[in-house]
Amino acid sequence: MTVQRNNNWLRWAVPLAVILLLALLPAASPDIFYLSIGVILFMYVALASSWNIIGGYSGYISFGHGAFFGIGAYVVAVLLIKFGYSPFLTCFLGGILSALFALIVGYPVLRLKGPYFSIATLCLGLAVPVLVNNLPEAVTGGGQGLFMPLMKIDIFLSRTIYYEVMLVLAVGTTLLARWILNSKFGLGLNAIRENENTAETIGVNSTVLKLQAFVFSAFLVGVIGGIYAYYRTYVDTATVFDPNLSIAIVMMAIFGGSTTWQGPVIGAIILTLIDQVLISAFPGAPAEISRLIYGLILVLVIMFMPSGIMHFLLNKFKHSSPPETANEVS
Amino acid sequence: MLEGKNIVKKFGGLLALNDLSFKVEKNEIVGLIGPNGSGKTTLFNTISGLYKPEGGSIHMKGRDITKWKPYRIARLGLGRTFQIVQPFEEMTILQNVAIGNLYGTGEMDIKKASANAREILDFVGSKHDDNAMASELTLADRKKLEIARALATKPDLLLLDEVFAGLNETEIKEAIALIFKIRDSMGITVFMVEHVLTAIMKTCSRVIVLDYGQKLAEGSPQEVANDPKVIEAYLGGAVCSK
Amino acid sequence: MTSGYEILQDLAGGIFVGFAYALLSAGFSLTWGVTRVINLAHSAFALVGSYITLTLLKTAGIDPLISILFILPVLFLLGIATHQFIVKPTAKRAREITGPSMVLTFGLFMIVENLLAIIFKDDDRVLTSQYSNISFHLGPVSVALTSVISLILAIISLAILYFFLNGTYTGKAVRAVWQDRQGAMLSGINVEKVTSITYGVSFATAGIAGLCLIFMYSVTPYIGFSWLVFVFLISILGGLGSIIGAAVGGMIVGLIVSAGSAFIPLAYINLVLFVLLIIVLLVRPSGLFRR
Repeated sequence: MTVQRNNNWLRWAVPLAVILLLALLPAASPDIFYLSIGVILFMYVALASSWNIIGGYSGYISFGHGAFFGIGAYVVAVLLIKFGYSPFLTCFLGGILSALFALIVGYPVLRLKGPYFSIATLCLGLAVPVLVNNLPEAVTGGGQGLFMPLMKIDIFLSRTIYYEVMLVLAVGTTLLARWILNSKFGLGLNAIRENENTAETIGVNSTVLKLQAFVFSAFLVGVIGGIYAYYRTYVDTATVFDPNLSIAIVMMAIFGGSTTWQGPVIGAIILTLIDQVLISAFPGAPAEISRLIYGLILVLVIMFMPSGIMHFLLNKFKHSSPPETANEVS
Repeated sequence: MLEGKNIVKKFGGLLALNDLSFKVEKNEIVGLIGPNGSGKTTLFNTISGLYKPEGGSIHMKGRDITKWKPYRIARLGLGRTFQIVQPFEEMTILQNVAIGNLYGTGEMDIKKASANAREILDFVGSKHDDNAMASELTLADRKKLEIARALATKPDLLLLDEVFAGLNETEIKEAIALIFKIRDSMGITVFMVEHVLTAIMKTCSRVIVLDYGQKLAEGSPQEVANDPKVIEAYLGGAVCSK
Repeated sequence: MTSGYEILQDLAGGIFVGFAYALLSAGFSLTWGVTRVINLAHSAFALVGSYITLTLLKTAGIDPLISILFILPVLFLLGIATHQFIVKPTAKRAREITGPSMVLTFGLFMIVENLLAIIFKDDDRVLTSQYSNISFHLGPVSVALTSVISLILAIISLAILYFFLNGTYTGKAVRAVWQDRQGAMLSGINVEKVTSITYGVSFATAGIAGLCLIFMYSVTPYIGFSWLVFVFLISILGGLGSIIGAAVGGMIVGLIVSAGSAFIPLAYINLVLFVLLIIVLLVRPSGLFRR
């Protein structure tokens, strides 16, 4: 009995310690560069975890979540510039608008299966910025984008604020993802991924469940987009609706292991760090070499761990500590 | 319990179910047999809502479920298994059954659902560790799992699609006993598609014979086995009482 | 205001480019069909075909049409190698291949794209051959010789592909594997060999499509992604797996893009295509032509 209790304690102590250390990092006055990396890193962790609710758990691989990110960003930017509302509040409105949009688009799009769904969401991600670009210039700044006022504080302090906020988002979305995975909702989503028709025959209303997952992940991504907008203080359709973002979060989640809640975290951390490391490792040589190596890493890892890193690790260290309920996954 | 009237199901030009009518009364164990391609699984798929018929109607417990979506029919009280067993491979045995309980009955509490699942797994005689992955099971155990999962939805009517295929003699005996247990302890009506005629003979009080999507014959197992039309449909006496 | 002539001109242009994209899509659906792999690197390999053509012309003065003799074997072998050394080992380890295949092939896409970028730099490359700058009139429309060559090449390739799949023993084996991999194995078909051949054919058609496209347009190493988007659109419209579907889808997309650009700013095209896509998918969730 005591052995098990020690085990459980460790499982929480370690991540908690890591998070605390990360949160306290700014107190050590590091170079502002590291804070910036932190912001981006935590952002991708949050994005990947949020995406995974629909992409990994349900198996509906969306290549268009960048659309929701951008919507959140624009909502925050517009509300700040027009009305002076604080982005730390309006980001939630950004999330809600993204969620509403996801609700409307989701209903038809989720009727598609497999590759068709992925392609349709990719097109969604490409079409939305066009729409936004063509909204009245007075509202969204047309092609030039919108410039937001900077916070009237020291840059280090401001960077620290974003660092902590993104850390909170990263931890929050990951905990949410974990909670969902172990809940009735999560089990239903997994059933849909396993075999949607069979799931229906045991009472799973897949239409509603999928839509809930899609909308909820859109909400989260919208919120994150809103915070990011204020961090950049500049939004335009090219930056916040970048298809590379949509693709990157899919890669991160699958690379890390999309059937788990830890997978997207690991994938986001590893791939973002690799990206940053490669950029600084080859200062003279062009970005092409970095991206080539990035691609090589993707290929090699997936070849040997197709279900993602986490899945591979979980299978390697399969030890049986009998869980309480049907849901003990972590 | 279940009534189908004049069901018509087409696939493109192919008429799979042709003006088919049938009844299954409460607490019966009814068998559905017929040569390959006669429409048995199509009928099951239509009943459970995976297919929508072009014509006719299906009523269960007095409600018209013809146009209902599968999940709604399941929640009304229909459970089914599949000819090619379809457990959720990447989930544990317990999770497989628990999902049935959670979504088939509106149960919200996972702990309760797990407890119910454990009970049902005992009921069907599963000897495995609850946390074994569904993918690790043998065929017979996968069939048990699928039955357990269907039972977890607390159905009033259970559709079994060729559960006896591929089982050895002992397993067949176990399965027959299980079917009676299902009817007698749980009060569930059973409607089963089968090719293994020993099973039909030993469990069913009534048998419906399908051929080319139409009802060819109906009656007690003995009557049906001796019906010349049925024998002919199976091309030369594959129907023999063992 | 665009005149009638200009509109016809645009429409003609749409048909030309449409068939090139149709060929690209047909090849894309092959790898999906036999292995359920979504090959995101497909357009990158088409670019390889384009660059082979450019290089051969520039360094050895080889006529672009002769390049076909180089493109076919090189890309065919690349296809086989990709299947044998990359896809097959991954599929053996994976329970489900489609999800991982996207990361796998995207990595491959990045590798090929950036290799091309390192070798050829990021400039626009145009194919200036003996066929360039010749045009003739087809009724009211002025048509470039290069466009016609591209069209003929694409149509012939599509026809050969169609004949291969429906008229030859190997092709029928491919279709069997497509329908039911297990069943095909049980029928005695050497599934692995057939799959490798299919990959070879898929990549070869990609290379030819790359040749067609460079006859008509300039390329940079980074154009692969936009080609891929067209492939996706056509795949949805035409359904993954029907040659005829790909051809029709290609024409539709080509026509919309070019005719559209006459009336609507290019930026809106994405939107129009997307809305069209949604409508088609709501009505026919597996595309216009089911496979």
